[in-house]
Amino acid sequence: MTPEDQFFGRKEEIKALADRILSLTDLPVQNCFLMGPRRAGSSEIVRRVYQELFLNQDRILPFYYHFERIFNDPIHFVMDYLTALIRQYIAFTDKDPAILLPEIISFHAIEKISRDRSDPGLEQLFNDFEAADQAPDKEGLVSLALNAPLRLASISTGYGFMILDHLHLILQMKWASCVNLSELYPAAMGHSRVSYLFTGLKSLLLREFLSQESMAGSVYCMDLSIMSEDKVQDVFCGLCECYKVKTEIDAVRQELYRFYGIPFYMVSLVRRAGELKIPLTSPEVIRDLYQQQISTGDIAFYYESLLNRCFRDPLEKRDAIRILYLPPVFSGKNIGIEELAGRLSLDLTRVREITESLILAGLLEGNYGMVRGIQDPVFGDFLRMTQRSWLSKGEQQDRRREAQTVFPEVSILTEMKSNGKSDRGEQGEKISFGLVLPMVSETELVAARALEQVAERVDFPDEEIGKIRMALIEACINSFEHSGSKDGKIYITFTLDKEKLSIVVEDKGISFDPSRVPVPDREKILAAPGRRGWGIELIKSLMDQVTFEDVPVGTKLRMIKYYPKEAGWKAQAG
Amino acid sequence: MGSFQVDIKFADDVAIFKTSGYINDLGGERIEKECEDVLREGYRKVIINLKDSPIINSIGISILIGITDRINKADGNLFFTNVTNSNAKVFDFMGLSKYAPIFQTVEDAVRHVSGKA
Repeated sequence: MTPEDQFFGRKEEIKALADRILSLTDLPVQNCFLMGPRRAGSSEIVRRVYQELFLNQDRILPFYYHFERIFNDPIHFVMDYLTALIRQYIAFTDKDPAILLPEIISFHAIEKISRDRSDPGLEQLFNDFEAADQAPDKEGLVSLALNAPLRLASISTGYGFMILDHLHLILQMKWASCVNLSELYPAAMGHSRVSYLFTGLKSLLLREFLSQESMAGSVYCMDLSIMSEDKVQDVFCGLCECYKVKTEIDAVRQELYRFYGIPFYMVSLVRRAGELKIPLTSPEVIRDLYQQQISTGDIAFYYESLLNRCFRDPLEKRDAIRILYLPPVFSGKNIGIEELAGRLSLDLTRVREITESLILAGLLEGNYGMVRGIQDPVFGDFLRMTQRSWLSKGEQQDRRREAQTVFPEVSILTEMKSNGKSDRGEQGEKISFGLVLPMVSETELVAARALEQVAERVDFPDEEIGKIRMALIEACINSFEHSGSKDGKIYITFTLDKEKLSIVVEDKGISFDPSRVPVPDREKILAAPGRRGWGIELIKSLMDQVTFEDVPVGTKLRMIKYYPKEAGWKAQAG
Repeated sequence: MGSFQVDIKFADDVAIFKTSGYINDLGGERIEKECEDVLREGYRKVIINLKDSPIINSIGISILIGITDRINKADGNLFFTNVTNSNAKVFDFMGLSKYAPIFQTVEDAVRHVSGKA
């Protein structure tokens, strides 16, 4: 636990929890899930609640268990759990906090101590353990452990209070020989004489634990809100005093928003300032130290460790960062896994695995095939720094290679026909070029590049080329998004004749009925999630003629732009 | 593809963005995110230099409209510079330039913002 002189803020939350617990009666009480952002201090709070209950009352038997490890065998979990609980029971009944001092004690040692106490309740607990162990009945053993708070409470105070810290880790303990903990806990939490308080990753517990039917209505969720500005200032000043760092709160107040009210971030920065003996008396110093913290300091180390624990393969880690840094995810908007895979051109299975690992690590939220980034600006700044550092290390080269592959400098057009006369270089009345594009992200830019090649043959002013390019891009995007074409292709034909450029954009998908497209409404489009709806109106405004032609399958859009009077057709001029 | 970038510089109380690359939904959202950040840092005057972003699609412009609304609601102002003529027409058509004036160069916009124009 953090030393008392280094713990600031959150006193109200601790008091509220302690008051709630101490008001227990023999009526069924609701369990409580203390939810909060990662590193917001929920563990510290529940440890203090335990301390409060241990030291300042004798009506309720308190327990605390911190899930730290993933146990591959249920028996190891049972022994660890029982050891912790029985030790706390003995310490509480003997009113001897020294028994809780953090020295390692084995299960067999605690069994020996228990049996020597001639406590019939404890004696019976160990006898039951032995019987289940010899059977062997692993599920019985796990149930015995989970019900231990109730049994121990019933032989002492009558009421128990069980605190489970980092409960989300039970979701990673999947045992072949026994029902999983997440399915067994609801029964243990249903007893009216023992109430539970737990912490853990909100999105995971909501998705996989609290969503169980057996948990319905049995848990009260208490949101650990972000600390207020005043409280953040108090904590910051307290930490500066503690680490002997000089500060001037009026001068640096404006920089404290950076910490998002999360004590860990403040502690990291102030501790570093203390080590370097730097006074935190100006915003610039805080900004510099913050940059250092998110690039190479404790904050970066913390997030790097989390990512390294999730992804041993550096390429997988890089893809994870790409996912987290993708704008919709980064800005906390929901995005489907399939769309995510499409946008990043990654294999869907790989994206599923990576996002699941990120969710388990608490670095991403997700449910029902949708994900979104966590709302923590400091983590966002860490991602930005990481991304920048990778870009400078070589991704720029990769991207240049990628761009060259997608936009080859060779001609991307097929010359289709030239009005019955010889092809290239000779005078003709009409010339057409064809282009087939796969419907993948941003290939409308390939169409734009092709247009530029075609437009070289005509003296279109730059402004007109810009308009045609935008119309073409919109037409391609319309095809991508609305055709649902099975062949996944867009067929584009550019035709130049004496007076105009015609562009046909065709797909083999669902027929598009332009009469059903509403006139764009600025407010409605802005409020809609995809912010789409301008395409057709824009195309009409940019081109001279726009027609949707009847075709048996799909949609065929013809767009025409007449040459300006001063422009000429270079092919015609020879 | 995917090489969209936003570089940000600050001149007194003005945040000056310089974008590079195609402004589609991804590019637009990246600008939106950066704008949110500078607003949170207290900047209320934002200039977006589009010199290296000649290609913008309608979704990108819709996002820019959203950004304009966001900045205006925070009592701030957004300005664009180095917009191509064709894009300027589209900005007009979609109602963006009504709320976010366009200047030829960043220097022009800065002069206007600082009241020296």
